[in-house]
Parts: sequence; structure tokens; C-alpha cells
Amino acid sequence: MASRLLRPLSRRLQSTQAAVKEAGAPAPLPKEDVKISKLSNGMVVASLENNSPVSRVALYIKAGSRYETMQNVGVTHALRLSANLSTKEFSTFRLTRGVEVLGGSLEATGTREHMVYKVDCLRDEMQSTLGYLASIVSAPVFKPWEVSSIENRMAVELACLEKQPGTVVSEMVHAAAYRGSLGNSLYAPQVMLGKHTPGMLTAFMQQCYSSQGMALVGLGTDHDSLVQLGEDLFSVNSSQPADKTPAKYVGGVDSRRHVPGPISTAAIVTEGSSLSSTDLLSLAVLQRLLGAGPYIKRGSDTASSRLNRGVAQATQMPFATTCFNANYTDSGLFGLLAVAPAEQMGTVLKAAVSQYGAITKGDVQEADVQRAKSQLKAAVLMSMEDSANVLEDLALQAVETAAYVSPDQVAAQVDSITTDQIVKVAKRVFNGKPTMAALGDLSNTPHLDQLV
Amino acid sequence: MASRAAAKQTGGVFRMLQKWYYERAGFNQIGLLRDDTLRETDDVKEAVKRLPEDVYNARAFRIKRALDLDMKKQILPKDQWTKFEEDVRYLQPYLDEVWKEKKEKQEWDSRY
Repeated sequence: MASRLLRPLSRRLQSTQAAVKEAGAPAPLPKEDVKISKLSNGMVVASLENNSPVSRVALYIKAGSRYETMQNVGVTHALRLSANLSTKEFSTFRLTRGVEVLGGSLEATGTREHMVYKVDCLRDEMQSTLGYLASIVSAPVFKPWEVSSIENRMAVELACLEKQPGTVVSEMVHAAAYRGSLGNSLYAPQVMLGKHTPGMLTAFMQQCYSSQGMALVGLGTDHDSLVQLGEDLFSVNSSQPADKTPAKYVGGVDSRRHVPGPISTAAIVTEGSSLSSTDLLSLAVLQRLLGAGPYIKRGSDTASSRLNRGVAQATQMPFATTCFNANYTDSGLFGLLAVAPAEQMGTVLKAAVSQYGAITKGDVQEADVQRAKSQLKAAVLMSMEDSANVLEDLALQAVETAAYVSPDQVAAQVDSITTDQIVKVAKRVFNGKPTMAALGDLSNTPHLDQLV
Repeated sequence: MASRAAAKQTGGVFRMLQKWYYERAGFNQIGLLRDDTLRETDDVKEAVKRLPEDVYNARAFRIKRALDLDMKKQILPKDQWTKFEEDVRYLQPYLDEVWKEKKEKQEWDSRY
């Protein structure tokens, strides 16, 4: 009985499907280029139309942790956590629910150089969602009871941070390598929990949140409407933003924190290259050559990682080494990050450091260089598959240079790097003053002067 | 002119009534302000949580002193009674804000 009813129904569905197929696929939309404009209030607006139904907009502000002073340590961490607090127009509740009802999302993150607010929304709702963002960035109220509520959230974040020794070591090595500026940690120190006052937050925002230091970047947005929104919504504070203290690499410091336990984590770095340096890509190739994997999940990664190969010959115990490469606008760090069982740390570090020494003596195979170049090109191009990475790349270039170099151009530049360039840059970097940071059980972790 | 005088007269009468009622209530005789005597509903509790530290400490002191006086069945000397003109509604702005937030939440919950 039921099957007799279903048979004519299925025949009707089949005929509908056939009709849709015959209609034909629509012509593909043209591929658009990146458009960049500089507004009268000093802001840079960049956008790339990718015809997505979802718009992704990022607001990059030159207000990262490097602009903190000794008096307001950790204020950028507090500001990240207070992104959802009441503004003059909207209460905390309204901000959350308002963005939700529009189908959007709002995220506040930060780097050492920039404060980043990311908004994802449906294309039609971009104006309303950016209205909320503009309110957060230009007119927060910082009510005392709301600001004190971020203390709990900050405590949770700091507790999570303690569980990530790699990140902690990275923060330690930055603090050891630089004095202030890039050495300022992304995270507030434990002693500043609950000590960030509304006055501190307001003062920092007034100094650094100027439209002259901002870039509004959109993916899947119409450029003209983004420019209009940039003019209308973000012109509240157009004063000269705070000066950027130039980052000076000092180095020579051995920063150690001993915590008895099974493993030890250590980083040894020297001064690398800045984002505007001509050595940027050569160092990136060198990083891939030394090993910045893993390329296979849970693999030993000895085939392409020179560091892992060298250390695997010295010890049978598990370990992880990776080449550390950080680039900022006016400086950078290049070196090694290693994790190993506490007793093996000495062996691991000595073997890894000797690989660096070997490269300065010219022990570099052409095949390895070719592989490293392919890996770098693949990494750059494959990361562009994710629109979040496209947005981040576009935004960083827009806020710092107001211009755009596409990943294809970068890949072409990588091709032109020679082995001699790599050895030359390796010599310059490795002969610099080293800095070390170590965390965990340091009973067998050598000091800096015992290694380099 | 006549109406303005009339309005002032009713303003004056109402004010006299207010003052009489205030004196009859008598909490000023043990050193309290009106906002100290509010029944602690959830809204009042939330508003009190938002008071700045010095205002909160002053409130706590007045309440403690009043409880002590009540226990001893005494009142303050007349020169220390709270004056009607000096009775500041310090909690009212915070209460208004709590109420506004509550209304907003109810409105949004009913709509979506």
C-alpha cells in the first residue's frame, strides 16, 4: 500500500531533478583584485571581493603589546577581554545579542604589534555589525563593575597558558631578547590580575586607538561601501597615535624557570630578519631547510627536517625540535625550539645547535635547498586556501605598508633564492648574540655559554 | 503669574508634606538615609554591588550604627539626625541602570 503511493512520488522527484540539470550552470563570476584606499582620517581600507555570502572584516590597530609601558603591563590583554563590555550606545547584553541576531560573530585577538578585531557577518548585515564594532572601538564606557569582571576570565586564560610550555618559552625568549617593546608579553603577568583600572584602559585606548593607525580590511565586501563605513564610523579619534619605540635586540640573556617534572622545553635564538628586510625569504627557506614540520601527523619528520635528523642520530628518546622564526616590522628572531625528556635535553640541544653550526660552514645540499623552497612555496600557497589566512595576510600588509604583495609574487621571489644567499644569511644570523629561554625540569639543560 | 504662584504654592505644600512624612518615619533619628532602608530585593542587591568603595563603606557604617542604636533602644542626639535636605538618593542612579538592563533583557527575550 505504501509502496504504491511512493512510486509516483519518486517518479515526480526524478523528473524535477532532470529539469534542473537541463537549465545549465551559470557563468562563473570574474576574479577580483585587491583594492586599497587611504581615507582622509588616515585609515587604510583594503578589500578583496570573493563573492562569498559571508563577509569577513578585520580591524587592525597599531596597539599591540609593544605599546605597553611599565605602568600598564598587560593592558592589551585586559583590552582583549573587555571587547564585549558596555559602550555609550549599547550594553554588554545588547552587544552580544545584537551581533547574534544578525548572524555574526565578533572576536578580539592581538599580536605583539597589533590589536585585531575580527567580524564575520552575512553580507547584507555588514553595516549593522560594523556599527557594533565601531562602538566598541571608539566609545567604550568601562564601568568599574564590568572591568572587574574580566579578572576571572584573565585568570582562566593565564591558567590555560601555564599548560602550554611552548608558548610560555616563546614569551620568555622574547622578553629576554628585547628590552620593552617586542619583549612585552601578550599576556598580563599574574601580579596584574584585577589591577587594570578603567582609567588605564581608557588612557591606552586614547593613545593608541587612532584612525591613523588603523586598517579596515574586508573579504567578501564591496570596496566602496567599506570605504564609506570607514569614513562614517571610525573617524572619532583621528589624532596622532602613540610613537612606536623601535625594537632593539639586546640578547645574551639566559632566562630559566625550573619546574621539576618529566620534560624540558627550551628556545635558543639570535636576531633574525624583519618583515621589510631583503633576507626575509632567505631566512624562511632556511627555516624550512632546518625543519618546520611536521608534514605527516605523528611522524618522526626526519626525512625533511635537518634538525630532527641530527638529533635522532644522537638519542633514541622522543623529542621535538623545530626552527623558530618570528618576523616583526622592525626586527625578528631566528633560532630553535626544542622539547625533550629532562635527562635528554643536553644531548638534544647540543646535536641541534651543531646542525646550525654545520650550515654556517657551508654544509648545505642543493637538493635540500630545493626541497625547502618547494615546502615554503607550498606552505604559503596552501595557507591561502583558508580565507582567515587570506584576511590576516591582507590586513597585515594593509596596516603596515598600505600595499599588497600577492602570494603568487612571493612564490616567484622564493624561486630566485640561491644556496649562496642562504649560507650568507645563515652566517650573519648565527654569528649574532644568542639568547636562551628554558622552562621545565632543567636538571640536564645546559646554559647558553655551554652551548654556543 | 497667578498660575505660577499657584504652582509654587502646591510645590510648597507637597514639600511640607514630604518633610512631615520624613520626620515621622524616623529613620533619620538613627542616622540613616532613605536608600539605606530599601528592602534588599535582587535589584537592590545588584545596585549595592555596583557602588563605589567609599559610598559602600559609608552605607555599611550607617547601617551598623543604626543596628547598634536599635539594639540599645537609643537614638542619636538631635544635631546628628539626617536632615531632610541632605538626604541624597545615592543608590537611585544604580537602581535605574539595573532596572533598565532588566527591561532590555526581558524585551529581547520576549522578541527572539
